[in-house]
Amino acid sequence: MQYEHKILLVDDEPLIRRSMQKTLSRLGFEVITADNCIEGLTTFEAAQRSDNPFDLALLDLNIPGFTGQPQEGAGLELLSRLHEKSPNLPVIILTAYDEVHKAKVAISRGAREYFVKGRDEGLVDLMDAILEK
Amino acid sequence: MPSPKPATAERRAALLQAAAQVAKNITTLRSLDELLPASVDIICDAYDFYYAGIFLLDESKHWAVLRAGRGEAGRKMIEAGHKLEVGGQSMIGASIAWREARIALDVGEEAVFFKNPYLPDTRSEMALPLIVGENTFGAVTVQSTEEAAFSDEDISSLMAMADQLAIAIHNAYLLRELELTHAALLRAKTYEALATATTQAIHWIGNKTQPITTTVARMKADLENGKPDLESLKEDLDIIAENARLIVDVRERIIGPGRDQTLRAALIPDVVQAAAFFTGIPDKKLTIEAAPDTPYGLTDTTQLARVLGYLFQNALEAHATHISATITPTLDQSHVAISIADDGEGIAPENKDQIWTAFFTTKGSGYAGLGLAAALTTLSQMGGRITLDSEPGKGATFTIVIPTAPDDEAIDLSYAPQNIFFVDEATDTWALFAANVLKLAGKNVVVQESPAGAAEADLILVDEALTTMPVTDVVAQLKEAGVAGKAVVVTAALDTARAARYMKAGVKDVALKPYTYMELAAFLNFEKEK
Repeated sequence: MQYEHKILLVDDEPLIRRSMQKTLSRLGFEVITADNCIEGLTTFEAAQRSDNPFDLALLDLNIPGFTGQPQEGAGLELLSRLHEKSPNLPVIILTAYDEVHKAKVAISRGAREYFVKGRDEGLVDLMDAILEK
Repeated sequence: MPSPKPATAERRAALLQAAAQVAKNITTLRSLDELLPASVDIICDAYDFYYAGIFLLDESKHWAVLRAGRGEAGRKMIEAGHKLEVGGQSMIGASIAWREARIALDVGEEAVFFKNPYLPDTRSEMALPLIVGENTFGAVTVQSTEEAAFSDEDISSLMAMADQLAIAIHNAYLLRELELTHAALLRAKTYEALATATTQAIHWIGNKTQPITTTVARMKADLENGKPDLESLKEDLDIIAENARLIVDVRERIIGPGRDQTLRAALIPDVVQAAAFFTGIPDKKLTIEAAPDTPYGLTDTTQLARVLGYLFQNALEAHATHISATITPTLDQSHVAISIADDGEGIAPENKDQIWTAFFTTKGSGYAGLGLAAALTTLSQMGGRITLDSEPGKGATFTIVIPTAPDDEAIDLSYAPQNIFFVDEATDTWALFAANVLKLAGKNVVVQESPAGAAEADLILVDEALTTMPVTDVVAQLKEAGVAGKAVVVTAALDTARAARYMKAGVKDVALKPYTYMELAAFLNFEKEK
């Protein structure tokens, strides 16, 4: 199957990874998942070296960080590392924290959107809008 | 002005006694509301004075307000809000302003005296400031109906007493200030903990509900397509079921501490054993040691077993290869301490405070982080507490402390069933207790790990924490022998689902284990009548 866009999804909740992967695959996205920062960065770098890099990254905010331990805001660290490799990569921070402060920090660190989990229809629209630009 | 009168030996003795009593009160009565009235009474009684009163400065430091006064006059003046201006016409006001004693041996002649309608008979008055270092707190007034009533000895001993009182007032103010600071700190901490817990709860719920909403939307779309992929739909249902299970688990841990507690005397080693059994800890991984003189604990055994279950579960999840439970009385015998020590991964210093916060976990997405928060709440409700000692890589020791139960009393068991059969290990703490009590009461008691031969008994007691065979198998065998109706499953911790299962299998009852003579008598009586 030929996919139009390739998405990196990093989340430490296995059921969220699986469920979102299924939903997004049905909608025509190629979804590769990782459950922590180290694996996320490695997967991203490997794709970048190939002829099929990622078009967009969906990153959970609180995931195991580069130390291997769960870490608050580790998703933002991964975001910075991804932008070092690919400054124009659109990144959506995906989180269950419905908090203005965290959203402001994420955007100021370069995230394209801060998306609160549970409003899925909106997420797909958002991804479409970002990728069509 | 008349000269001060000389002191007698008798009066000197009374003064010494009064000074000693005031000193004693200062050390025992911590509240000013107790200390000040007690002090005016001692002064009047010891010196045979007409009146004594204590004024304390208000917040503005401009007024001295009467806080304690002898007798009816004192009561009326306090009710009327009697206060005197600092530096004003009164002796009290002057003594505070000048930070020195004012003595009038015939008040009628004292120019600064302010005539008081409540105390018309006063002929001598002394006002002594209450001073500690740079601080002035108020003044004491002492009044007599005699002219020249105060001897030199009276004056010096009263001044010493005023100094002692001032120190006590100073201490009370410091304590009050400390309490206010503590209360403010506690409020701030409570608010902070609530805010953190709420944020974590919202985050957790968001993460667990999100796959449900995504999956339901996808399933609907699949079904509307008309060509549903059955394997995919089955996986979707599993996703929903798993998240629902996690949410249901959390519900129990949130509700748990909120349940009503029934405190009773309990054999703590038996509750620990039951908790380990229900958590599924293999025998070879666990050591339970109880000091021989350990008293009964006062606790809700179902709730305590739940708390211990959280600790055992945590030890297993920290990859402990061995867990030891030690039960000892505290040094003063007022509490029972239960230490659960494991050789697992331990807890990082930076997490030691946070582990008590609801929804904090280092174990990943399959965990709610509610066990220790629930343990803390549950234990504090039963008058207990829990502490942690841990170093990363060196395991963790949680110590629970609960109050000791009052002593048990022997009771008549003659009406209880004569032949009682225990399906239990002979070494089980509870079986040892109950079987011995019943044997001493002249009952025929059998303790056996299998139900073979139980048919002859009047009452069959099956320990739910039996390790040698599943209780469901015991009940099935009893049913086959046609005697399940004489059987009661006894447990340290009641569980709705398990109780329903045994009742459906045909047992007579499922009940909490009786741990005392009184409970055993009530239990046997109840089961006999049932």
